[in-house]
Amino acid sequence: MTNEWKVLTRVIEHGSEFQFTDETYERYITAVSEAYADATSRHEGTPRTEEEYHSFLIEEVLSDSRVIEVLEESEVPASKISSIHDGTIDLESSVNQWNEIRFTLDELLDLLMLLKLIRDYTESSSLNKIESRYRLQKLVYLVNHNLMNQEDYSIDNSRFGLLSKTGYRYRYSKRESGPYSEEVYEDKNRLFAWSLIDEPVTGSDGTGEVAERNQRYAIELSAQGEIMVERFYDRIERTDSFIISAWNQAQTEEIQKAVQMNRSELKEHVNQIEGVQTTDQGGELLIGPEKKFQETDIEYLEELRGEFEHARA
Amino acid sequence: MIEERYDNLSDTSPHEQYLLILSESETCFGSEYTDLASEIQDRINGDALTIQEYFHPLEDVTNSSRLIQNSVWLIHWDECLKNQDYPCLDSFLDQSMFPNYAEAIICIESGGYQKAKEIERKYRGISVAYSKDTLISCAKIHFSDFNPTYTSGKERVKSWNNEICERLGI
Repeated sequence: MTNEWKVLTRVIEHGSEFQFTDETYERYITAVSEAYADATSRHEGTPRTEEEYHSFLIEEVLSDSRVIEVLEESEVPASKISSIHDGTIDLESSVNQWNEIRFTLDELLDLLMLLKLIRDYTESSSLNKIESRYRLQKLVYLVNHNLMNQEDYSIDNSRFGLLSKTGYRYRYSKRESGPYSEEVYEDKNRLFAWSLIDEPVTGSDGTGEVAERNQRYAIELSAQGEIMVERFYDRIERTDSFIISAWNQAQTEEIQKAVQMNRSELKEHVNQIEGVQTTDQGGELLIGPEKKFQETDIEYLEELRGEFEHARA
Repeated sequence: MIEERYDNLSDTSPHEQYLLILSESETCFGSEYTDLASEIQDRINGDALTIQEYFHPLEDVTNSSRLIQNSVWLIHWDECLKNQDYPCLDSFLDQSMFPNYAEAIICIESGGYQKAKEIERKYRGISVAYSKDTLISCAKIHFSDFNPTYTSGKERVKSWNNEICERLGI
């Protein structure tokens, strides 16, 4: 229930032909902010449960005389104002409207390839999981590093090699634990939040990785994540798109190498990479592709988008 | 900035909060950001929360570890987002990645309410201000919730602070 006050910004227009003007909306949101602050002060804060919070918004904020006055002067339909008075105004639908959003193609491919990486690693590993957040971070780094060291066959010959065309969009910098990407961490969290992966605690010995100092977390697909990967797996493997194919190939190669290494071997392997050795703490190691993928690169785009939107809902 | 976890609700008060400003200039809606921050401060209930503006250099905008240490982000639309000059911001602003209880307010100086709605459709859970009054109103509501004067506000500040610590490895 974070930032749900925003439902107030659209609930008046929702399901109605009424539209605010620049001036009337400004007056409305000003009145709402004053009513909200006063109600918070009266009640020593806002309620914690969603149901109570919605009642608070209707009874203490929307019903405030300053808000009602603005709504009446803005010629909001009488039925909408009545629905505030009798408590039937539909906040729920407005919340759902907020949740409608479209992923970009680049985001979708990162998330799908992350899921595939987890699946492929898991199948190759005797442990049936990625052992730690540390290992996930380094695996993704190694995939992009692999692409960076491949010829990109272009006239300008980017210093990022094939990574200038394909691979994860993540920016890696050097931390105490080696290459680390905040974006990998965030996307991993998104997959967890959508119940596509699980992160069981597997040990009380940290790895030194960010957010893994005191406990170790394995990473594996959830049942829902398995279904999602299964749906797209063969289409990635058999794709006609060079950039998807090259990315997938690099990923497969790095998984096959990393799965043979224990933690200290992997650490040594990563830390002996030239850029990792020579870059200062906090310095940038690599960045993801500058060029965006084209929608024509992936023919199952809408299906993929639908799957992630469903998972997020 | 963020230095330690809060173990107890009492640790959250008093709380000093930075208002992150991502903009090429020092003014917006005809006022200096510093003055806007002062006006926002003046409208906060109680005395447990103080806010201060923080101008983050745009050339370092990919530094999400630094950005997330601010609970309110003011982002100038034309200068930062309109032409996708800083593509990383799109992913930072994705609601599933944006820290809980933090607030991003995109400031547009033209286009008014209709343009604000259009941008809000793109960024889930983000506020768009098209005037000084709409900006201050959004900030006022945010700081009504995110305010350790109240118990529910203490819980929000504690939760936000500890989430950021987790992401920073503190």
